[in-house]
This record gives sequence, structure tokens and C-alpha cells, in this order.
Amino acid sequence: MTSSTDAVSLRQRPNIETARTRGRTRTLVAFSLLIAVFILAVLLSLSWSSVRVPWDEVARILLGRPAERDAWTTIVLDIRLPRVITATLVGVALGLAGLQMQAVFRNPLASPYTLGVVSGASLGAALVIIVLPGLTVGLYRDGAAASGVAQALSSVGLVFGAALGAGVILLAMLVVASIVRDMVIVLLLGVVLSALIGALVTVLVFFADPNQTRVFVEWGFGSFQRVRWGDVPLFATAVGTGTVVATLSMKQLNALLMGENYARSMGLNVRRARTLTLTSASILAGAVVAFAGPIAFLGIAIPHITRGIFGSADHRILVPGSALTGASVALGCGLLAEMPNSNLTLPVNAATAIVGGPIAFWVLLRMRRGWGS
Amino acid sequence: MAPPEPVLSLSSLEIGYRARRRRRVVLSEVSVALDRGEFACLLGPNGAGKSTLLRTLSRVQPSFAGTVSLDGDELDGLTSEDLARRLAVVLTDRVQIANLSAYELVGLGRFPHTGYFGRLGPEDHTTIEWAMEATQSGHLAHRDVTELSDGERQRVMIARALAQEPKVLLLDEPTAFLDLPSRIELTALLRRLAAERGLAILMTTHDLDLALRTADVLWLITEDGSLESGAPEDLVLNGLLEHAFSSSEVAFDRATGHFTPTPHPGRRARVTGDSLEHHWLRQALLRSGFDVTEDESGDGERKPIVCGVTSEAGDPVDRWWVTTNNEERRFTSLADLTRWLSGQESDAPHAPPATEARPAP
Repeated sequence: MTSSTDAVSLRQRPNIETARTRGRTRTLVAFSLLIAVFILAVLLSLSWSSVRVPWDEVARILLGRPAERDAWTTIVLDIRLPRVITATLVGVALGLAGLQMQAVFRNPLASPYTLGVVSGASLGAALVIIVLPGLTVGLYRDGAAASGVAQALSSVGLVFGAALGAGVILLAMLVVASIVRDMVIVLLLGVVLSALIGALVTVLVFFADPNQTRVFVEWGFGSFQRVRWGDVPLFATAVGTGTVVATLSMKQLNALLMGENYARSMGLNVRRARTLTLTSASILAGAVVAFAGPIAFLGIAIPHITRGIFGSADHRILVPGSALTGASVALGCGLLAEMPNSNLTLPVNAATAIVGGPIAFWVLLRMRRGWGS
Repeated sequence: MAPPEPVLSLSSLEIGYRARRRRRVVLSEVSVALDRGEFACLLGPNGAGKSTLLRTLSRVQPSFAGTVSLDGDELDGLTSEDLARRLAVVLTDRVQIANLSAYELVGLGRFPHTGYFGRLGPEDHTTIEWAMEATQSGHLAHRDVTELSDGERQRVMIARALAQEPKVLLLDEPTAFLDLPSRIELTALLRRLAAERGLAILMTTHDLDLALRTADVLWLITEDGSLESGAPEDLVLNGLLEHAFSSSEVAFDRATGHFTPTPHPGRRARVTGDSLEHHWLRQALLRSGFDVTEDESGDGERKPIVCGVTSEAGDPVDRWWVTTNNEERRFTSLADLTRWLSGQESDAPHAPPATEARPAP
């Protein structure tokens, strides 16, 4: 008896050792590579666009030294740096929001969009652009000639409207989520609500005049260029808050991997964890929509890409991983949208779909198993 | 060895669920206890309240009345983390997580013991290894949980529950999707864990045979909504088991502890002999709805058919014989025999006993 037990132990030992250290090297390598890619993406975004600023000049400007041409300093510091910060914040926010949503709903298709937060923000934006036209009048009608006051007002109004819309829907969905225990139903309610709000927005757009419609449609394209230095603190605070919550809830998200019943049996206060996580995801998504418009695809794709890179389901890896991956991917999409060396600028949403789509497609095909019904 | 002490005890417990704001009581006046080292099986017909009881014991839903005491303290007074350190569960929820190794899954069981970020320290790793070795799943540690077979996954899920270092382990139909050898293996494993680690284990099951053969204690939910407990053999002898499961379609054989289809009225067969062949001949006849006897007395109306095994060794052809109304028939296999018997029945479903031999179909 003893000898057979020993034999079993001998057979088990190497596998346990392998399992304990499994993936450690991969995690280290992946984090190092992601950080390198992120830095590269930042530098590329700063130097490479419609106007090419040499790398060494970018470095000089960032270090506060005078550049060869003054225009370059303005371009890098006042136009590109806010854009880089915006893209980074958008990527971090959507990566984390998507990860949180997928963990809470235990569904690979969950994203900030499915909860209706983005449609809520759209409605808010539509109301500001179309119903309160006083705020936006003159903004796009004659381009650069628009008065600075109107522009400032309109951007504040847009941010406010979108955030309010996202917040109202968030509250509604949190109330729903606390009443309805079945998360699949909550997810589907979010989808239905999104469609409903979409219809309201359609009605608003239908009665709007062409100029307002155009403003709204352009808002819907998404852009990393709307954020000015003055907006950065608020945007960064919102994303920072969500990031802190995500970091503090890594253990809870791991417990939720096995489903709510198991999570509860291990001592997790499921309702509190769920509320906290959904609140954080909504703040993240709401901030993105308010400052950059309804950026498509990243929320759903980035967590999957991150899982593929790290080959892990551990949220202690996936939370920082998704933030890093999200930032790099968003910067990449921004670069693509800029169409370097041309005067053309694509909508960011087109770029995120072009980049995110095929990657998500590939990752999902590779996943096949693992999200049992 | 320390004297057994109840680690889980229920007194005057009333449980049920709420449907449309109305209480539906499923079980009431439940008073029963489980000792350290005991392996108990919770049995009962579908819908009798097995899951409700398990959910109440793991505090997923509240009880209506009475108390549950867990390791000396009242269940309702425990914090959720304290509860998780005393009681672990294996549920029927399907756990399929991509990119998660069995080792990591077992590690999730450390949740109530780790700090804010869930970092596993050296002691946690020792416990995980112990849990995996105790469930003989150590060789699966490096595998993805999605690659495991049902039996392997169930062992890993038990290891995960053990990693919580509980005093009480509750399992909801852990053998449901397993093949027979895995079911026996798993039950033996649970029994050993209870005995060797001093765990109190309660599992629900539909597998009466297995429960009768392996459980220290049976908790039996009867149709009138009460819970009886006792050693399996006692429950057989006092007829409680029979009462709980028998119906017009199945009869419980107290001698073997098996359920068999109730014999058709008037179908009687006589078999004498003790060999292995005779045993399985009886089984075949029972399956075909015969009341199998050894004695010769008929009920007057209808004499039993007589069946047997030819003794000629070496020739498997025409091994089985049946005598009805003084005519003997021989069959190569029990399949042929039972087929012929049921043909006899359907030819003349309500007719009086045949007076002359019929040609075989």
C-alpha cells in the first residue's frame, strides 16, 4: 500500500512542479515585449503623421529643449501628445472595461457596448448636438472660423451629455442587475436597451438639420483629437479610478471565473463585487465615449488578444496585460487612422475595426473551447 | 483516534424556497447530524429537496426555521470567509475555463485564505499540492481544465474544494456524468478522504446501489417530506428505503438491495441451480418481468415455466432450455430466450395458459 502511494507521488511530482511554474517565462517575455511595443507606438505616434518630425527632434522636444523648427514643438506638444495620451487612456479604459464585463457576465461577447452604456452616451451626445443646437451652432458650419467660445462650450456640452447619458443607463442597468440574478438576462436586456436607445437616436437624427446630423455622425466616427490639455486631468482621473478598481478586484474576478455559485461558496460577496465592477466598467466606458466618441471593437477584442498573448486566465496577469495591450492597440489604430505621409485622416472607428476585427476573429477561432454554455 | 463529534448538525430545520412571495416548504423538522470522518449520501426522489437542503447548508438560501450548526457555531452567525474556511462545495455547474491549468483551478480554492491580491504563498502551494495528491490528480496539474475528462475534472474540483481546507464537504451529484468505474473510484476516494482526513462529507446521488455499498450513513428524504437517517443496512431492514423508492413499476429486493421491474401478474418461472449461468438466467427472467422462484408449487391457475442450463460442457449451442406445458425448447443465447418469452406473451396477452405448444416465432 505504502509503496503504491509512493509510486503515485513520484508520478505526480514532476507535473506539479511544471504546473506551478507554468507560464512564468511566457508572462515575463510577454510583459517585456508589450512594454517595448507600447514605447515604440508612443514614439511612432509622436513623430509620424501628416508631418514627419524626426525621432531625435521628438526626443529633444520631450526633454524640453528647443527644436529645429518651432512648429514641430507645437505639433508634438500641443497636438500629438494629447492625442497619444487620449489613445493610451482609451485603450487602457476599453481593455479593462471589456475584461471586467467579460468576467462578471462570464460571456466572451460582453463589452461596454452590450450593457447599453455606449448607446446611453450616444443619446446624450445626440441631445446635446441636436436638441441644444445653441451650444454647437457655428462649430462645424464654417470650420476654423467658428468662434472659440462656441467650440469650447460645445466640447464641454458633448462631454457632459455623453457622460450623463452613460451614467443614467449605468444606473438603470445596475438596478436591473441587482434585481435580476441571471447574468445572461441582464446581458440581453442591455442589448435590447441599446437597440431601443438606438431607435430614439435615429428619430432625433431624422428630425435634425443636415449640419447637426453631420456633427453627430462625425462624433460617432470616434476621434483621438478632441481632447485638449485642459481635458486631460478629468479624463485621466476617470480612467485612473477605473484602473484602481480593476487592480483591487483581480482576486474577485478570478473567483468569478468558476461562476457565481462557486465564487459565493468561497466567501466572495458576489453582489458587491458585481456592482463595483460594473460601476468601474461604466465609468471607464463612459469616459471614453465622452472624450473620444463611441470607439468600436476595442472593448471586446483587447481582453481576447491579451488572453491569447499570455495564454492565461489569471486576472492578476490579465488586468495589467489588458491595460498594456489596450494602450498599444489604440495607439496603433490612431496611427493607422492618421494615414502617415498623407493628408487623409480616417475615422478612428474604421481603424479600430480594421485592426481589431481580424485579430478578434483569429483569437475567437482559436478559442473554440473553454466558454462552455 | 479522537471520538467522533458532530461537525454539522441540523435541528428542527425547515427549508424550502420562495415562489411569488409565498413560501414553499420542502422539508421540515429535519434534525440530523454528521460526524467528523463520516461519509454520508443524501438520497431522495427528484424534487424531494436534495438540492434545496444543500443550498441551505451552504447558505446560498436561507432556512425558514430551525438551526444549522457548523463546527460548533451557528451557520447564520459566520462571516462568508469564515464559512468558506469551514465548508466547501462541489456543484453541478460546469466549469470550463480556457487557459487555466488544473493546478491554477485548485489554487482558486485558496480564496478564503489569501490576502487582498490573492497571492499564493509557500503554504498555499503546499496545500494545493496536498489537495491534488489526496485526490490523486497531481499528474493532471499541468493540464488545461478544458482538456480533462469528466472523471478527471471531478477529481480536480474535489481537490479545489479540499484546498479551502474545510471541515465539511458538500457535493451535488458528483457522479452524475461519470461512467461506472469512475463513479466507483470517485466514491471510494470520498470515503477515504472522510476517513483519513477527518472530513465530514455529504453527497447527493441518484446512484442507490453505490450509496448502499459505500456510505457510512444515508440521509433519506421520504415522500412525505421528512428526512430519515441511518446506516444503509438499517434503512433496508426497516423498509424505509423500499418505501421511498418503490412504485407500481419497480420493486425493491431487500435481500440484494436491488430494484427490479415489478413482475407481470401470472408470469412465474422456476430456476434451480447455483452456477454463474443460473444467476444470469435469473437476471434475464427478472428483466423480462418474471417472478423467479425455486419451489415447485404453482398458484393452481398457472404453473410456472421451468428454465435451466444444460450441463453438457463444451457445446455452447442450445445451452438454455425452457419447459412450458411439457414441451422443451432450447436456445443458444439468453437474448433468443427472452425474445421468445416476450413473443409468447404478446401472442396471447390476455389468454388463459396455453394448452399446447406454439411454434417458435
